[in-house]
Amino acid sequence: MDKIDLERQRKHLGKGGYLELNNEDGTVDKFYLNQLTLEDLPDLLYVLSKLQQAENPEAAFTALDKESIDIITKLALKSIKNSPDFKDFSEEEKKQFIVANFMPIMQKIFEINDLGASKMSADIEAIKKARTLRRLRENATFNANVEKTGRSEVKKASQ
Amino acid sequence: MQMLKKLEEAKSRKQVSEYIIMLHHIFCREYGWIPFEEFKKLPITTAFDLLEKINEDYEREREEIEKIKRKVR
Repeated sequence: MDKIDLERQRKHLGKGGYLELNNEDGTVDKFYLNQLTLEDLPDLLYVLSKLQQAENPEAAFTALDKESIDIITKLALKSIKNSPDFKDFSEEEKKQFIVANFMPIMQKIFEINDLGASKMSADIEAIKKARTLRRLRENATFNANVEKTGRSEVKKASQ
Repeated sequence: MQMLKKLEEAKSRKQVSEYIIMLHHIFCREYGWIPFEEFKKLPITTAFDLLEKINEDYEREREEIEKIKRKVR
């Protein structure tokens, strides 16, 4: 099993990831962020759609309105909730930490939850596809049943 | 213009809510009823991994059906 497989399995089981912040002295601080759940998906997708409206990556931050920033802050607070690395932080300190490291936290949240811009479109396409394929399967089953019933009726009639 | 922007936003939010409903619906069809509270607590990655597997199964079944159809013809 390689590292990518391991990471994928961990993610499937709900594991989060580490936010790495570089210090001026060359050291790196690591903070564990939890994965978000489906109840946060609409908020995440909303923020992502706002970011996609930006013409270039540099303008992404300015594309965010106050509402989106509040949503990201709320999601970030949820991500660090129950994280052992933040157990000594007060609520106020947690908020300050988020404000001070807004962009890297935001990027990490999207990364942990597998929601890059292209991934989001792929996931939505997957939902659409599942619906279409299910219909095809239902149609096939229906046709098979009709054929079966038809045959038995013909048999009965001939008897 | 502002109004148009708001409408667009509302539309995109509605689409997203449709996807969530659809996702819950697909899971329930596939695995049986999933209580709402449990569905909400599923990690995002887990949910989309499952969806990927459901799609793979459907694809495989579709290919089998196509094979059978070709044989019948």
